[in-house]
Amino acid sequence: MNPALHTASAAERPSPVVADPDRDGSTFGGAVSSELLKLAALRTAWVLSVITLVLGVLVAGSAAFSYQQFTAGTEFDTGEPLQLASQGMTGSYFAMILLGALGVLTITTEYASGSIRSSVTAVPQRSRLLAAKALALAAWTAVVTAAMILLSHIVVALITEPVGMTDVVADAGIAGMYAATWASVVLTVLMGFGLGTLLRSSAGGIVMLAVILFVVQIALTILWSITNGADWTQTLLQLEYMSLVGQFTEAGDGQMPGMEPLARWQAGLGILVWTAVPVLAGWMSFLRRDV
Amino acid sequence: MITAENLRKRYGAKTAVDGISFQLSPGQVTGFLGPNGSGKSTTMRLAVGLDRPTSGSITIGGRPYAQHRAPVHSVGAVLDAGATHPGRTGRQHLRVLAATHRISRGRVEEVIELTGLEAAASKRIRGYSLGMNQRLGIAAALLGDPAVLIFDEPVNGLDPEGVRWVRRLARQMAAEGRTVFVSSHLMSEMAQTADHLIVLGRGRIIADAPLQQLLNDDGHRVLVRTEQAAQLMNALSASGVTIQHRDAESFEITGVDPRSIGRRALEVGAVIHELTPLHSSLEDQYMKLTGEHVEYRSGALHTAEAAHPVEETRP
Repeated sequence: MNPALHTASAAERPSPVVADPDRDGSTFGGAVSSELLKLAALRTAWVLSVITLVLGVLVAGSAAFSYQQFTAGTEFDTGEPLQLASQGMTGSYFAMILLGALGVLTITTEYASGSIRSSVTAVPQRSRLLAAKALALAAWTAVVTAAMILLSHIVVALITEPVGMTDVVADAGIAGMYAATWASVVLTVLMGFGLGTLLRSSAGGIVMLAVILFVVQIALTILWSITNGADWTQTLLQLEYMSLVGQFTEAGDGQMPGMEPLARWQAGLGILVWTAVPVLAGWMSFLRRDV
Repeated sequence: MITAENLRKRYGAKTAVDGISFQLSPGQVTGFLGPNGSGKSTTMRLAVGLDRPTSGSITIGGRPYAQHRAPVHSVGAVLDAGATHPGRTGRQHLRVLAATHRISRGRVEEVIELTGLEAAASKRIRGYSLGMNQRLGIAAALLGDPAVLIFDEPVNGLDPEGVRWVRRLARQMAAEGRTVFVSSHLMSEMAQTADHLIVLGRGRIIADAPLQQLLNDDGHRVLVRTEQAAQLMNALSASGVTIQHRDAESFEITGVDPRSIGRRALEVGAVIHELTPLHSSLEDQYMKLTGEHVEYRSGALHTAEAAHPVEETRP
């Protein structure tokens, strides 16, 4: 039923310019390029990316230097290239928290500044907007992480004997470990993005991310210790996020004492689930809540 | 065209918009008035999909805003001067919005020039004044050359030149056949800009009429000054006519037009020194309309002005 409308008077007016809902213009590609422009204009994105690169390379250099100075030629010298390359990837933990924080900030700074209202007005299809943000963020951090891995590998290869410069592609074990590390960082960034979308708070999102990355493992380890290594605590420890990352990047050579490590695909699936939960919850919240 | 049908929005126990219906047509400026908290901004946010209606609908061109395939070309909205990232420059902000619809950089430069932001476009927005932010918001709204413009308090923070510019812009856009929907607290500004007014009070429409009709709502009021005041007052007395004595030589009369008063004065031989049609200002009408609907009321001021209210304007 059409309710009674208060209709404006139809006095003499110029020929109307009418909004055409079917006019083309907004595309997913356009939304993605808009989000990339936003990231490029965000000083925090550059600062966090540069810190990630520098820290990653410094940590890789330190690990390689320590090996060369103190281990090479001793009884601890296993000369295992994969193990050395893996130690060179210790900087990826910094990448997870730093770029993960960027994932949180990508959306929360829009809420804090109010610019989310401009974003939603320009792209009112909220799923499209959120997907464009996630894709742009993933692309940005994928490039930064790939650069960090490549530079770290070059540093490790330059300093140590066992790791060769071409091992990044020639050694399947090393290439797989690098790919898994790269994927773990990008997925962690998306997890941060999901937390930011859900919580709409920079502090809340970053703290929650730090808790998932660092605190849960400590808490579960304490619990494991208190319960004298109860099976259920071991299971929780194995399914905890950073433990899954360890099992994923090290191809099943997890550090779980007395437990069969998960296969790489299982650990990867676990990481995907950890990432999907906050992303989906954030997406649902973004669709339903007012901006 | 913007159409609201039984539009309602609740935030918890608070009803911000209470089942309103209206239709805005192209080719005119529709002013949106109401006290603080009456639901103006909420209605505009609902129009562009920032908030979800609790019930009812609001459509633009027959479809909800989110279903438009090129929303920036359909609607230009300035809802909040602060809806920008302070770390970006004005130009970056516009380019980010333009990229969503593949609008050219040339158009970005055009709207920068149109809004007078050339000198500030390369500066970070955190250094902008409120007025510059308003101009940037308007530049963003004009990017897609839209058919519908929605401005929420567009002159806040603008200097007199900026206020005049916004007024002319709104009038020009309406003259081109676009739908222009403007909210403002500045009655004088609205009186000069709007063709049609919608007045909200506590989330409900309390008036929806052409501006002139609202101004004339209290009938013909005329100030008469004559040496034979009592004689003329007697001659004009009739049902539907109200006479208010002012002083020994003057009175205010409602319900008779000036021409009839002059004719009657001639008949009774009264010498008239003044015969002035009185017009209520928009502010008077607004206060009359919204008196019962004000949610946040200021405390009383014990000043000379409060004791002797300013009289109505004469043309």
